Amino acid sequence: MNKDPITTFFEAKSFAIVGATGNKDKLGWFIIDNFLTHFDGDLYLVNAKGGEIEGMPVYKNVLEIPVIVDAVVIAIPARFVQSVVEDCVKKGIKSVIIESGGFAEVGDEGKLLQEKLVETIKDTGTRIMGPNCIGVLSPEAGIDTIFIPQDRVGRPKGGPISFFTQSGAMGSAILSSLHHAGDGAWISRFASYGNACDVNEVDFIKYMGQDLSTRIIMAHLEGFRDGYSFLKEAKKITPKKPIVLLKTNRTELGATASASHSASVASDDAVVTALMKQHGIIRVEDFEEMTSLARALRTQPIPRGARIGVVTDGGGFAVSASDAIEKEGLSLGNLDKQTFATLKAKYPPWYISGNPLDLTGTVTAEEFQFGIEQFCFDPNIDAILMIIIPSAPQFDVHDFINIFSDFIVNIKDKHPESAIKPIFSVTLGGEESQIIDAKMEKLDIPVFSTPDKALTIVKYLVEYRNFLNHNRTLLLEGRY
Amino acid sequence: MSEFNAKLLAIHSERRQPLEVEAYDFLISEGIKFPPYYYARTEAEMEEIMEILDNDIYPSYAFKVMSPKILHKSDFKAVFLNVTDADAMATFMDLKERFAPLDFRGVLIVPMAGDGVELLLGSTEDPTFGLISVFGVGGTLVEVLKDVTFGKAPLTRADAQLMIKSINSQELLNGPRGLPKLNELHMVDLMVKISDIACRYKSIIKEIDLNPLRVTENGIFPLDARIILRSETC
Repeated sequence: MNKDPITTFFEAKSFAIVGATGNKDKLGWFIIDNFLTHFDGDLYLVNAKGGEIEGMPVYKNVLEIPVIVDAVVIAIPARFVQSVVEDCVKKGIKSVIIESGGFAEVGDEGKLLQEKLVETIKDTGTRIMGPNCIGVLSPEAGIDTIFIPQDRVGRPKGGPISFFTQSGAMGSAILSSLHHAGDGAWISRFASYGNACDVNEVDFIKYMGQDLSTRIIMAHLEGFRDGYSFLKEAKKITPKKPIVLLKTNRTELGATASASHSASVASDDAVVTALMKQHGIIRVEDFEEMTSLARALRTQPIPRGARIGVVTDGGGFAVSASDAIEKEGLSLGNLDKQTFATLKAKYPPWYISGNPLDLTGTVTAEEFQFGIEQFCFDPNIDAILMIIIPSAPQFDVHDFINIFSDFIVNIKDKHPESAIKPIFSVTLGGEESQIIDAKMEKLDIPVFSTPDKALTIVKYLVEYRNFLNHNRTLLLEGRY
Repeated sequence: MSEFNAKLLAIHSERRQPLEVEAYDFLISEGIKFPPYYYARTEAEMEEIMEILDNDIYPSYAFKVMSPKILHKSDFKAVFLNVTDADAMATFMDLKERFAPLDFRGVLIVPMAGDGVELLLGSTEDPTFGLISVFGVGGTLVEVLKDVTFGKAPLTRADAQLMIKSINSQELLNGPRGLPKLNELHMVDLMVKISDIACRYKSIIKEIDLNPLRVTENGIFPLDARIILRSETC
């Protein structure tokens, strides 16, 4: 089944809003407002009542619009949707987003309505996203069909991450969470596609895989409509772009009683985990991991290996981080002799000059920074975790922020590329830790609440690196 | 098409599942290695086999009753282990008589395998992703440890390697307590072969199951093999 690609949902140059209203409390207005603010293309408003909104003409139906728009968003009660979709098909419109609820999610009657929609677009060039969804956010194209006002759901600016989910709640949550992070420039293409009566995960992965503005793909799925094709497409993408998947609904067991052991041990969820790994897809456990990984992938290089360096002024956390490193299958890098000598020469004898580097409660900001830099230069370290306990009496938080920023901002000009390594930050303490966290965010250094959480994310990155290396070997051997 | 492929098709058209011995025959024809095995359907055949048993190097054998009515042999006490040459004939006659009411077809006789870790290798169909390969800890520990992993078929050698590395019980593969260590290259060969067979025969074979698969000094051998044919296309 070769269906039309879904490009125009995200790159439309002309859009029509069905269910347009000038009533500023209604969701039809919020969508208009989004388009008036951000969309440079041609906008057409449709409402059976006709009239005018903000000086723009309102067409009574889609057929009346003088041009063939690229895309239509529908926000009217479910019972009126069918005839609008028929008009869209008649007119030859490629992309239709149905935001209205009242379809398969509400029971048998709604299910029939939805089946009729699917029947209507069968063998036509029209594709449907939804129904029962918040639709698309495509910041560079100025497309925003989300009917929730911007003070309720954040809208990140254009960036490298594309995200798709069936769930409107999950979609809103990720947008809001990223909107407040760093410089707010995160999203390339976003879609929340509700009941998925037509457009599904395979369409998204295919489109985002070839989309030049997408550097990282993230998805939340409760189930696969077409798992076979999803993996087939993902296999082509993961050697070039990371795909992160939050697959929930783990207990939905598909394992049926069977005569063979191979079949009876194959519970859905374990199969999903193994097959995602086989295809280089990073499967995360929960929402927090997903947003953390989004930040890490956007801001940090993928570590070259699994050798972690830990710099801290808290001995207790040095030990707990070492435990977590072991647990996640990572390793503590063995410092180069040169680094070791440099640290020994610099620090008082009671500092533990090794990895973890334990700078104890007498550390100064300058000494902390010195340690981080030496770890950046050490060839045996692939990623750095700094664990700051700002309560050390001689540790001036503002001094540290200044010298650390100076190093990070100028690292590309002043140091060889090999010194540019992924850095992750954990600060534990009172108000001062909030000051450091905020600054780190601004510097695009991912911030975590505990070393364990940071190291879980590092593990995902290292696993992806291993997958890339594995693939490169296959490529070199001509077997991929 | 080889003789045994034709046999598999014939079984399929008879709308029944292959006996274990028929699964062996088929898999051997497809290049899977098994220990030597003998199949006695009648007393006369058993007498011929007795001569071989008397002269071969194996001290004892496993006797397995073949019957289309018996899917899980242990449930029916249809497996006898450590049968010596001296007891072989009497054991055969005893089984033949006792299992006559259960559609007795014959006895599969295989030498007792050397000690080793038991693994599982198979192929099944996932409702979401299609044909998948299964690898993990096998034998009596399958249900307890549930230490298995999966890969979308057809497996590449790299996929198979990744699967071997993915199970939790890595120490079992390294030869615990003096047991033979898994030869990873041989295991990869076997995994790729089984996955390949499953793909080529997917129109008639639904599931393949080698369990247990024993890691011995002399190689990795299935001690049991099962093939489930599709019933819907019969």
